Amino acid sequence: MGFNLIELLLKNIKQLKEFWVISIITIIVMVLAPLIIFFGITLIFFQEYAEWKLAMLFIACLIIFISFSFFSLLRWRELRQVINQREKTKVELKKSEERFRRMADNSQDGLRIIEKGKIVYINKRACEIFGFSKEELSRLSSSNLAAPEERKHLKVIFDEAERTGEQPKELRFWIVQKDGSRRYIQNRYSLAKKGNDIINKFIFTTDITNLMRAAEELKKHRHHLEELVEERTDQLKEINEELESFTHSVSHDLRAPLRAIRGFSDALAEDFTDNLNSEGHEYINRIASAADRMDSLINDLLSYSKLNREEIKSQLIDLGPVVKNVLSQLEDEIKKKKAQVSIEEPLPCILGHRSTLIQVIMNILSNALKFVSPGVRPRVRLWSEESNNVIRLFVEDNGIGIDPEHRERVFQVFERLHGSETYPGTGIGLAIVRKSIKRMGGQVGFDSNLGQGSKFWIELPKQ
Amino acid sequence: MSSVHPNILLVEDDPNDVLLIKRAFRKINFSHPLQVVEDGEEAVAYLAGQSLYVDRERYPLPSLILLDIKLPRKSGFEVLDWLRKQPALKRLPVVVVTSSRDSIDINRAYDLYANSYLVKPFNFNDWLEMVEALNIYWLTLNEDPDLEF
Repeated sequence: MGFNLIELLLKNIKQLKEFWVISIITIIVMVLAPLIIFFGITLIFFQEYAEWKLAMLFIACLIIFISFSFFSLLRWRELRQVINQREKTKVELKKSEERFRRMADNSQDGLRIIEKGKIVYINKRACEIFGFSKEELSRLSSSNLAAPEERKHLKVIFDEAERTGEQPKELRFWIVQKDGSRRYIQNRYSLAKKGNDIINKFIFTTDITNLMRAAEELKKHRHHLEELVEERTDQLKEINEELESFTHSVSHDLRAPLRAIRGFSDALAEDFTDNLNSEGHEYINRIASAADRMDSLINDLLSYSKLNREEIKSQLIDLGPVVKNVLSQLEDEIKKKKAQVSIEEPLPCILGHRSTLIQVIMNILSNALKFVSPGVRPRVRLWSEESNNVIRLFVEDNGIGIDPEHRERVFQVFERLHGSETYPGTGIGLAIVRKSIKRMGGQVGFDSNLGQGSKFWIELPKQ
Repeated sequence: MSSVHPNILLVEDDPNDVLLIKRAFRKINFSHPLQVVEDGEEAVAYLAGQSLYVDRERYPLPSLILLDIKLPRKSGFEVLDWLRKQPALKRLPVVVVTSSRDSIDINRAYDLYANSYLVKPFNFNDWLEMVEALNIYWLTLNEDPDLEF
């Protein structure tokens, strides 16, 4: 905008001269014309020597004068308009210059403008950033302002720029202010070129000391955080290892004496059968069954803790064979209880871990067979439903049901709702179910009411 | 068929288990000698024929080793590792008999070339079945390898 106005002005200077010349000629013509007319009329009408030749000359002069003054008038008007335009442009330019100057003066970035190697403009902010007055600053280059340790590498950069003609777009370095305090600045360079010649160079300067310090602080914190995480991870690893060795010794050491109790009570019953009365035999049986219960407790606990420790990789599994596997393992139980188990085939494929899934379905099915009122034949129905890319496997029984009040408790470790005399068990079965399903990325739940049977479901992704 | 005088080296530190295993062998009328050592170092000494075990008449090389994993001084794994590196003994059949059902232990045992891995049974009838199976499979059906000296 500003440059356009300047060009227009330069062009107008010629027209300005022409305007004055034409104005003067017009004034002269305007004065001369009435004089000629006056003398002409006097000549024609009041001179007795009037001749038609002279009259003709007069008329010709008159026509020339009139047409000349007419065209002069037209041109004069035209030039008048141009001059007016020029005045307007001058005002516009002044306004524009004022706007840009205010912008540069009040910019949040420092600005220095260099023309032909000389600094021609410095704004207020530049003085603030560098800590020098305008006069001082106009005599100092970037290399002079930079901190001593920066000068060497800046010189390399500037020399390189000189050689290749490629100015850097951006530079960051430390400077030392007049009072000796240090700031970290970012310079951005903007060049105006005509061919290969640099007309002027704008240097925008931003004080990024605080930004840099914040970044450093952040880096320090991040480093500290990383250290902390590492430390905690190590601690957790240690605890985990301890836990692992704990379960290891549980599986080894705790079971050894138990095996002895069980083994020798068997030996006692067998080898000394004649020396024991029925009461003695009953005591031995109690010892044996107590040891059995302890063993299944340890077994269940181990498989529960194994679920936490071991990696469970899900893959596509056909539910059909999985359920068949569980049924064959429960065959004796089903026969003994004369249970009726119906499976609605075909069963789909799901994403899961085979042996974990077998354990889950085993626990749910054996619960369905176990928790029935005395004398009732267990009836279990198993089917699947699909929705939204997940498969739900349902196991419905005609058992004693679960009071909704105990909804959450049944999934907790060691949580039992009945005495072990009525319904033997360790109280870990459903805890294993829940943990297993969670590890495989699924969900488990049930609908049940006291005395109305239960409907357990597990939900796993289809793909 | 197996050697004429099959004998077993039992490496087991728990005296209760030793007693139960001995009783089980007795119950199946297994009349051959059952040598017992109580820790890993002793097992190595026995197999190498060192110190006390120099007398091969009294302490013959076994045709089967029953090896527990958790042992004092040297673990069953260390014994197994050592054994498989002995040119003269490396082919000896080793059945790991332990209480751990941990897959880490099971896999480690097979990595060290155990011939079989059994978990100590809980009640005595299962002990009997296991010992009987061991007798039939490893001491009767199974062919002994040559041990090189």
